[in-house]
Amino acid sequence: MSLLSVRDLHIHIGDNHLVRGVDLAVERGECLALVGESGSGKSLTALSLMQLLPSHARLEHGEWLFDGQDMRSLDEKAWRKVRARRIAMVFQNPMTALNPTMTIGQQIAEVICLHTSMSRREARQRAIDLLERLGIVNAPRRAKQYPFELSGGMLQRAVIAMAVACGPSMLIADEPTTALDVTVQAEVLALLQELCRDEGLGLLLITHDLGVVEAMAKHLAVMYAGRIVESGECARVLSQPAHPYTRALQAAMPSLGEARESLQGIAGTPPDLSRQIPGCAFAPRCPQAMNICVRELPQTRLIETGQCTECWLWEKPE
Amino acid sequence: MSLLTIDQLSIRFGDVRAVDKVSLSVAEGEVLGLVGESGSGKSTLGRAVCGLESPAAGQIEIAGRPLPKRFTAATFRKQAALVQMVFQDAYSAMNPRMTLLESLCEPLRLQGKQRGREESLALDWLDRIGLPRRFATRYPHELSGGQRQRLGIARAFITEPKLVICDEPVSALDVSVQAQIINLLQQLQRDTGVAMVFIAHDLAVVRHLAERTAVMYHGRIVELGGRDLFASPRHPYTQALVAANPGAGRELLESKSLLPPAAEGCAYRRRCRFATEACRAGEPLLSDVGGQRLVACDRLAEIEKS
Ligand SMILES: Nc1ncnc2c1ncn2[C@@H]1O[C@H](COP(=O)(O)OP(=O)(O)OP(=O)(O)O)[C@@H](O)[C@H]1O
Ligand SMILES: Nc1ncnc2c1ncn2[C@@H]1O[C@H](COP(=O)(O)OP(=O)(O)OP(=O)(O)O)[C@@H](O)[C@H]1O
Ligand code: SF4
Ligand SMILES: [Mg+2]
Ligand SMILES: [Mg+2]
Repeated sequence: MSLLSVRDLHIHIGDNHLVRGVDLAVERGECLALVGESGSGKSLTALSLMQLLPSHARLEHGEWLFDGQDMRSLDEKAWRKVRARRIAMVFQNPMTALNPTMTIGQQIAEVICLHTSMSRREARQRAIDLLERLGIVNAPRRAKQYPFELSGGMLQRAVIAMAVACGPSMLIADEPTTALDVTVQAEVLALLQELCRDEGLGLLLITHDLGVVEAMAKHLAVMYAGRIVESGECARVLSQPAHPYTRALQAAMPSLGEARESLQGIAGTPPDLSRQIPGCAFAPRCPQAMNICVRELPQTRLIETGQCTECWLWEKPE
Repeated sequence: MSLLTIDQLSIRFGDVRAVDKVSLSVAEGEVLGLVGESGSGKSTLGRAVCGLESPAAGQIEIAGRPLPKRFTAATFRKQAALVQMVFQDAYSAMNPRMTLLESLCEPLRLQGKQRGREESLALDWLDRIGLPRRFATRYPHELSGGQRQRLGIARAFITEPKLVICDEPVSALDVSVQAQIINLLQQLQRDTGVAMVFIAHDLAVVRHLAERTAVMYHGRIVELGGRDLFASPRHPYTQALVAANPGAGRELLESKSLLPPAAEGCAYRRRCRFATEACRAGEPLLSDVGGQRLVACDRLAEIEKS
């Protein structure tokens, strides 16, 4: 049984239907990567899994199981026990998780004291150890600094340290390495991999960096306009992308090798989610769109190369 | 002609040398890439150019004039017309109570540019950064991370400054939107002749945009070169950086990257696989090694012979 499984997740804010039927499953000890267009609903999906959406957001689930427990029935008090201890999150914007008036060492130690039986002193030491493992040099000194005294990449690592400090069984990491240079990034990813391997951590990794995806993830889900349009084993999806959006994403990657005049973006903008979309949301931008694509939503299909995709190109003609 | 000249700039926070004796120049219309280790001083350097840090030593000149030591409302406005910044943390640089439309019109109004056309220009900019016009009435907290980052870019470029310090401006964008934005930056550079200092950790993006790139380690520039820098890195730190790029094969990964920079001699020596006793002595200076390349390593000749 999966560590986390969500079926048919919908999120509405105001008139906008922003997440429109998402299925996700995260296994113990494995990393599921979630990629997709800016604004496609990745962070909202992540926040919903921590019950941290803005209060005016409306949430619907077909199923929502974590570690065998039905999460739909938890109240806020129960949720406070789940967060940090069982499911932890690295927010896309590190400052949302940090208190500007406390040193980062204090903040990490406080989370540890709150959720474990460790003493203050042990907690402080654990905080320093974690910062060190995340490649922060002079960690004991850094732990005594305030957020404004740290660089962007150090803050990001402080937040990661805080998230993994209590040994959660699941980690949701929303763009955790965007401010890190590649050598430090390698360090951070190595720690996450180790936690997956040795402690069975289930990792939901949101990232736009396909290099990171390749290095980390067993499975990959690709999101567009509030739906998962393709998912499957990472290696397959990246080597033989089936959905036209995934293909366009790959074509847009700049490379260190060859020089190019201009990069290949995707023309057009994502759809207005305050309107009903009867067909495939990518149709207006898809180079292969057919008449039916605009009218009717294709079914999710398991295709020969082993991944699931939602696209009329893969529907067998009757 | 050189638009930005930085000469022997040092910035300290207590005993931390955030920026140490950095000299750099950026020509009009040029894109200069700035890469380097997390905490090496890139943002601090960029902020100093915008007058947001006070240097311990050294000079910054923009368009031939030294940066004022102290800012008044008038000098600040003059400076803002010349230099803008895209902040690494887009959210904290925005007024949470302003709609997108207001926050795009604000810099224009402050500088008295495009009078009467502010709103239509602001809407144009929403198109250019790929945000639908219906977002004009939204607030920053109603945006996704990448949408916010794009708003920060629009705010910096909308007044057509001469120079923009872009601090990780595309780090939160998926590759397709990133491609659109990079193309937009290139087009702006061609059309308005804006110069940029482009700080980023994604080497492929930097290589694509920047004619020249400087590599920072522990407050210093250790290597500076043209586009060939990434194909033939010569400073040992740059070599480690290029080797750790995802997709470059993980075996090459530096195993000593946790060691702190050394206080005397070459700061990189503890991690450097070529370091010898000699590296403990002098601080290597950035020197011209031919082929438009500057490298700060005293052992370069010996390393490359072997
Ligand atoms: N509080 C809100 N009110 C209204 N719309 C919102 C709100 N928060 C987010 N949105 C919209 O919901 C959509 C999905 O946002 P989300 O933050 O999940 O995107 P994302 O996939 O994480 O994008 P990015 O990669 O840019 O971070 C976006 O179009 C965003 O504008
Ligand atoms: N206001 C401050 N007070 C004290 N120290 C600071 C302050 N701002 C920056 N520093 C220190 O200066 C050094 C350089 O920081 P800076 O933010 O310039 O790094 P960076 O190269 O931009 O790193 P990153 O890639 O992680 O964003 C770091 O050691 C940082 O802790
Ligand atoms: S000067 Fe010495 S220690 Fe420094 S990078 Fe060169 S070889 Fe390494
Ligand atoms: Mg997001
Ligand atoms: Mg920075």
